[in-house]
Amino acid sequence: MHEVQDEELMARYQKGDESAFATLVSRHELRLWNFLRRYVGDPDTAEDLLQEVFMRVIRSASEWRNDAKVSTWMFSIARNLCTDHARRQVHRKAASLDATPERIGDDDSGPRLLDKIAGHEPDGESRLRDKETILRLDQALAQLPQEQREVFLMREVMEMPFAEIALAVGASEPTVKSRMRYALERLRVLLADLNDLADADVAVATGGR
Amino acid sequence: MNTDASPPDRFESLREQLVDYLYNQADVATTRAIESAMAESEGFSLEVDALARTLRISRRALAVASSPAPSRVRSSVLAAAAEQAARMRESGLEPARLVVRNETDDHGGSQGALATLWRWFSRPYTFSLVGVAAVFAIFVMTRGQNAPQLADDAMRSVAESTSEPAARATAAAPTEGQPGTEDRDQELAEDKAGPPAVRFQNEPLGKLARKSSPKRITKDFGRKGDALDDTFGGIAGGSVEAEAPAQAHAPAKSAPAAAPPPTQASSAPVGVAAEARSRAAKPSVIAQTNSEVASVADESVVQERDEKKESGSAPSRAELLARAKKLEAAKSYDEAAAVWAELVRRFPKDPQTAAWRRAETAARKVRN
Repeated sequence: MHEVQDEELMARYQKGDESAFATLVSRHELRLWNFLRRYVGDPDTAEDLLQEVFMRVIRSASEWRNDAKVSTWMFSIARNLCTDHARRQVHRKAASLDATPERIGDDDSGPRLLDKIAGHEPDGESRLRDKETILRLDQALAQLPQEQREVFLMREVMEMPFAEIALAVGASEPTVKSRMRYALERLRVLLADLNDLADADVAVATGGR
Repeated sequence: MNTDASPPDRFESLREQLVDYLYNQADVATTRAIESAMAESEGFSLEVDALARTLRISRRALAVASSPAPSRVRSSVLAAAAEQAARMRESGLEPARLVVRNETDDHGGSQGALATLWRWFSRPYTFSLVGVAAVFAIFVMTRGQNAPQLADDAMRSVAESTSEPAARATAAAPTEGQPGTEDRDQELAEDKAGPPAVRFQNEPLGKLARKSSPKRITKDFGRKGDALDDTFGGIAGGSVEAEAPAQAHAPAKSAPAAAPPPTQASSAPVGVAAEARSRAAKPSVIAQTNSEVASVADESVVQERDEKKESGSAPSRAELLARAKKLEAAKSYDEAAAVWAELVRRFPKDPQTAAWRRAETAARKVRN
């Protein structure tokens, strides 16, 4: 069956069809949430930013014109919010994921960030392993330069084509691909201790996305 | 990155293509080049494998880390979206702003068109636009109604100024030596030469006149010429002065052509006439209107009628003129002044009355 395009849903919402917007939310909230979650690290901040993304879309809905993809528009809003948040964080002393390895290793008392990160497998050893994986991932992403991190997350979490990423970040497509390569090279070092994940039973292969 | 023996320069261009290769977006040639380089260099092969492995690890980690969005965000967002949707329904979004339309949506048919019109006209800026359009339409219609009249006026103005030479030619036809013609020239020059030129400059119609096509001007002028011929058919080729019956000047014509030597008294009108003639030679002085010529003709008819009335009991205008000239020639300025005064008194509406008055004044000055 023909799936209604995002743009058509937005047009309906402009006419007052709120169910069309609900469809848009359900279609994009997961990717937006995970992008924000991985980008800023902090789940509470990510939640605030996710709400702000949709609120901005709602406020600007009457001015939207069908000359850009709705998904690109939403992801651009999300990316800009993350950029603003990162700028604010520069001047703020907050609990950083960068500091967690030492803290995790040195101090076993009190709640650890590892425990705060949500996992989706509730049982035993696999749950612990996933949490470890998620923690390592967030640590690695936090060490990426912002421009590499956003490209990597847009491509791998939001599944945006490189051409759309280029539009969203305001750079050329070769530049975006170059940033992606540098991000992968850096992640290779940062995630070296997770090599066993590559052999895990996960249908991840090069290409095809 | 510990890429052992791979020379950086050799594979650098291929590294630029590695992302395309990893995402299966490289073209055939690039794919073959990378794979042959991998086969050729173990270090480069390990480098590519490591990147592919990193991509798999990160995807695995991202899949593990993926979690559903908080439900409270969804509920608050949908509540806000419902409020905004209600507002947009109430205000009504301008249809032209939507490129994507839902064909199955309502607002079809005349009812939908009326609703659209109502929404459109319910906005303040619509009234502004309609107001501007109405003012512009009234302006255009007003111009359209006045255009023929304006054009006719312009044509008349142009034709009048253009027909000056013809009128001037008829006015200049009498010889300079003819008595009385100087006064007539002076009067015509003084009374009519200036105004048309001034009017042409000052009136906005001048612009229209200048924009008029030569063909139309010629056509209009042709009509005016015919009218002139009709009006002055009997005196065609003569002077406007001839509106005074030719016989009125008969005594003067039959009089010796040798004019009296210019005296101080007689030189005044003659000098004015000469000035008028010189001015008449200029384009601005040449400018006379047919209507003005026609009015002179009318006045002449009135004058002729007056003369006929007077002819029964008193000397006619022509006789008085001849007598005054004769007396001046004889240097009888007192008598001449009396005759001029008589002319002024009896023919106050005569176009030459002003000249007679000046002649009378001059004669008195000489007498005194």
